[in-house]
Amino acid sequence: MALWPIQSRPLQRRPFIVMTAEDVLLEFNAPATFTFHDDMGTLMLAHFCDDDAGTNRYFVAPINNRLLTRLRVGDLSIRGSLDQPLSWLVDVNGRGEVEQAWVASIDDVPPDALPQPDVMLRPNLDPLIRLRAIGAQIQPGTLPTSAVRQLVTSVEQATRTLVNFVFDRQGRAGRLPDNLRDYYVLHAQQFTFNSFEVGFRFPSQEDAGRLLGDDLASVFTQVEQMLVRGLEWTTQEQAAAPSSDPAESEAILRAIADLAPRRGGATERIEVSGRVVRDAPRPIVLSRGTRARATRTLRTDPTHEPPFSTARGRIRELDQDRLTFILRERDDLPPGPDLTFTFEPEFLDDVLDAFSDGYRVRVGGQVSHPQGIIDLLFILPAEAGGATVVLR
Amino acid sequence: MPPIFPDDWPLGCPPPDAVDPNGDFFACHKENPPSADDFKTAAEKGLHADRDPCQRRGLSVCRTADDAREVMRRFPRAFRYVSKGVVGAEHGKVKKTAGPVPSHHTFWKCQTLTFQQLLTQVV
Repeated sequence: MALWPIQSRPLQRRPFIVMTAEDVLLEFNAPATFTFHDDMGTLMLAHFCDDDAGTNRYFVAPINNRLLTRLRVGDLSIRGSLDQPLSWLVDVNGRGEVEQAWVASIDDVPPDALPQPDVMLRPNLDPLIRLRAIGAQIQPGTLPTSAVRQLVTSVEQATRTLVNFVFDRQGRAGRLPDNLRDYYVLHAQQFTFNSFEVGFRFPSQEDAGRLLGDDLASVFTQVEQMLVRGLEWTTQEQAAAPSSDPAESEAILRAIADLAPRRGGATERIEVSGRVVRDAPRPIVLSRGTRARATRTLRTDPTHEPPFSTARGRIRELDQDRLTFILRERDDLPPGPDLTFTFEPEFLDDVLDAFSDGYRVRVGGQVSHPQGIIDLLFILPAEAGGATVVLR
Repeated sequence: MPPIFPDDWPLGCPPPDAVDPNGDFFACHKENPPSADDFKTAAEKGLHADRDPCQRRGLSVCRTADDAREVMRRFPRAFRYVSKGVVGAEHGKVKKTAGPVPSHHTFWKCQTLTFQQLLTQVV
């Protein structure tokens, strides 16, 4: 297939005479993405677009070391690094000599001549998940902060739900690793503001500034696999559950409910892209109906019917990473067993207040985890009064 | 029978640390079915004459179809298809080399076969 025709006239004076690869960022059969210096000593980035009959066509743009670093660590996509005010299409012969060149904006090239906007230098740098908030109120310049908050907390909470499930499955409750934060902290990798869109990924060794252990990689892999299954489930309207393992199904459905938009918020739909949906047959869009369906599926499975209960005591142990606390010194059932609660981020202030000031609280929730951990539904100072159902 | 490589290749090419291939390999190409141009090495295309002369005589391949598709995502117009070949020791030598994906290898094929004969199944 011949090189695509370029409508504009080639430059009379070529911007470069020879392109000799210096720093090869990607090599496939030959240097395919590389830097070189032009005659004036300006650093340039060239990305291979196409070839035919001994001619290679590249898209070339000036770059600096700061952008190169961002490209290498995955803060900037290949396309993003090439999207500069001045750029060229360049046909090069086998000796690296420029035969023809055109001034070309990145918008002038055929869509398939360059990678999609979310493609990073290497696959391991691609966003794990990208969420694009859609809603009538979400417009450039009028983005409600609630939509920003919801998008970020939803993916955090979904990840926390799945990581906690993997930990529980590994029987690791009570002896959690020292580097616990590594498991919960997703990195916001890319922001796109025309529509509000954020790409997230797990922390890399570069982010952490040290080697990440095999345990961490294994948990990330399992979380990613569960996210893939959950998002597939959202596309299969007849599917009853995302996994044949009821406990895993429950964790996945909870994560999907976390990700999907809530009623009453500015976000009506969330479009999902990124590595977790790469093999999906069609784009995945989460709606408020998705959240309702996930919740309904949880409820319709009798093994997921959680009992509701309340208790009273003091919060004596708080884990702000896992968003869990242990209720001790119970006076509703002395000497009642210690109870472990997990809670959503909106409860954090109330839980912190009770923990740091040491006052008694009345808490209520649903026992919906295999280890008896309770999902917190409310927390009040104990003196607020009210009827109490004793948890045993 | 050990593979025989072209006489005009540099001395020590394939490199001594290249190994016998064994199993599935995946290559990216532009046409379907692949044309002879699709699997030309950099040396056969006369490209990048300043680069390592032995490396230029090998073809980039991946051990997994997923990795080959990742290459396509980075060069979507130049690489539109992936073909699989089941390759054995008689077909050439391979070496894991730096590339865009973890399973990237350079494959030096013997002179008696074409890549079109080896990479027969578009996946």
